[in-house]
Amino acid sequence: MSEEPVDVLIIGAGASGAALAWSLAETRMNILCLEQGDWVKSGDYPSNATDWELRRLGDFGFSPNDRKLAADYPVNDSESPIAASMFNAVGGSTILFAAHFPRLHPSDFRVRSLDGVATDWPLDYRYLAPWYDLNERMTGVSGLAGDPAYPSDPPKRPPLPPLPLGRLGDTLARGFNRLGWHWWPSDSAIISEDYEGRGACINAGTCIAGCAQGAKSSSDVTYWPVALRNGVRIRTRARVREITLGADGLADGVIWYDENGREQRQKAHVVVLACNGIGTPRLLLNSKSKDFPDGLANRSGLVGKNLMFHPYAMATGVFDEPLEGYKGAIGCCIMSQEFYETDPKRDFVRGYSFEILRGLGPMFTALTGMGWGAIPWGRDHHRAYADLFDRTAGMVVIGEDLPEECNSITLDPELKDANGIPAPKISYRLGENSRKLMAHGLLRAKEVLEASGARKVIEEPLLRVAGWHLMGTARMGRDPKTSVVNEWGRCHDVKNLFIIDGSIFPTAGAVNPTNTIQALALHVADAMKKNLASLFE
Amino acid sequence: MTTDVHQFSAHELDTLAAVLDQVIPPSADGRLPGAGFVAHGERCAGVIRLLPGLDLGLVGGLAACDEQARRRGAADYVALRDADRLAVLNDVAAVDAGFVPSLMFLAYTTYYVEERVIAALDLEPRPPHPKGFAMPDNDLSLLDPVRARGRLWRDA
Repeated sequence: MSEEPVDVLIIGAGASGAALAWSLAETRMNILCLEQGDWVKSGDYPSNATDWELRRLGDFGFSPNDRKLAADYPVNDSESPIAASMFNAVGGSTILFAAHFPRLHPSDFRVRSLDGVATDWPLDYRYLAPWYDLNERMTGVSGLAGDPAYPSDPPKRPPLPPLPLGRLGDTLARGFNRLGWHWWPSDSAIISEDYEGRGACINAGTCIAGCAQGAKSSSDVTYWPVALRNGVRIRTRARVREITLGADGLADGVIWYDENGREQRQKAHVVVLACNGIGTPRLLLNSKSKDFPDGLANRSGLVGKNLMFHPYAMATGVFDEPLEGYKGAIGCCIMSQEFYETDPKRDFVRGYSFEILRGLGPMFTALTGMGWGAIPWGRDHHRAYADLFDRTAGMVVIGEDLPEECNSITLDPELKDANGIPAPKISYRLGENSRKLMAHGLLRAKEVLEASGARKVIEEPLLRVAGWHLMGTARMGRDPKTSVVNEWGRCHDVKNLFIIDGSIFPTAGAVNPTNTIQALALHVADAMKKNLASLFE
Repeated sequence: MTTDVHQFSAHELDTLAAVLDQVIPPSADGRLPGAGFVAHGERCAGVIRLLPGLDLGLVGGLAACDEQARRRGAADYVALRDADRLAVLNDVAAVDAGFVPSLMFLAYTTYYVEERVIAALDLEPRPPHPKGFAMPDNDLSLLDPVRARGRLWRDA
């Protein structure tokens, strides 16, 4: 790799890096992205084989600690009830995400003003709405306009019709209707019709093991192909160790390792971090210098602090009739925001979403049933299996997690990755508000399933595997004392260093974050373009 | 992934097959096979490689099954009649709490991805891609009561 400086160096080719690269490409600047993973080709995906479920336990599993691929780095999550789930590749964790793609709500940007907790965002829903619109067009979101859980002005109009609800979705929808509760077809980053050269979803049901069809809008099939055509370059299998500083106090590039473990340097005029809510603070904390002894851009002391997941609880209903739950997008069916907003009558603030999950395939029915103690070995095995297979519907409660400084990412004193770079350590506990909120949600989920006709409901109060949403560890704000980046993602302490991933969320809301992450990345790119002449002032 | 795993002998694999047939026996109607047939396959070896320590836990349990069988006068576990195999497995499970869960994990992950099993569940034994599945059109009149309720979002 050349020592010649590039104009913009993006670290990480996931959801946010892709969106920003696409947007900046029109400037004709020299833009390079370093990504520690590789491209995943259609033929690589498990869904091309009958035993596709089995590979979810191996190289297409959620946890880097289980996969242990060359692209992965270890994460010490022993002091957290929620484990880190992520994927390293061009497309990042969108390769394995379920593609549930809602927006935040207007109240999510004003939790301090409305509810007296956490902090307000330095921008609001109305400001971000055009970036949501653009991102949903680029992504090819399937959904239905008119959801009463969102404002009608500005309107939210998904460009494609909703995915099929199927027998399972219809069953649960009737349950919500019996209770008089809100539900709506999910906004999904999966194309329900042919779109921009990609073929429509075929309802294979394998989304969380990747989409060989290319219908799931992971950013390797949406933004990146266009960005590459417009001149952006990606260097894969490139793991960045640290960001370096010049004598002027600005970031001047990075030190990285190639796939053979050789140390390389890349100079840059602007550095953009897009490494997720764990990888970004890890890299900043690993970039120490005389000026920044506690980690780069960390004069506030907030790098790595205020980690937010969305805690997930799950209720699974067992029904008498087949639901055809193995067909269709597993996480994109219907959702409910009946309990999203604060209700003073409850003993917690903020709220949660329900996301309806389809059923399980043959192997995961057996494994999950084993975990529940519902499918024994021996003589009764086949009867118990037949009682569960294709007769379950899942509901997850996605709770809003409030920021707390004690929930954090630090550097593990011993654990290192394959290149000897200190690994991140998660210290996390579920706050009191979150515990009350999740308990409330689990009870309501059980009511829905029973109203839908479930003869039995299995409850799981907290899913350990569900650390998909990584937010808050380099939050945005106007005050350098209480935030790491400003309202357009620029670090307060280093004027040519930007952060665009979920790290910059001041609060989490109670919806899947990728749509917001990408909308913010588009907003940051736009701000960079508008301020090119005075970017470092 | 763990690569330094125990190499199972032919006898150990035969014993494993016999034990897996107890974990998932053939169905009474004969449609579903017992799980023993998976033991000699590469897929089974792959799952054993997935979990550190699974191999040694299985080897120890299989040896205990042979030992219990010999106490009953048989040459080894495979030589037992079906009812005695079940009794021996229960005896071993009573003193080795991890053995049966390991067997269940192995059986459940390998058996339910086999094409003959998938076909017996009345599913097409094929990869999900590229054919996928047909699904019915949406009946969005189900949303009428939701639309009638009015807004839920909060002014900010």
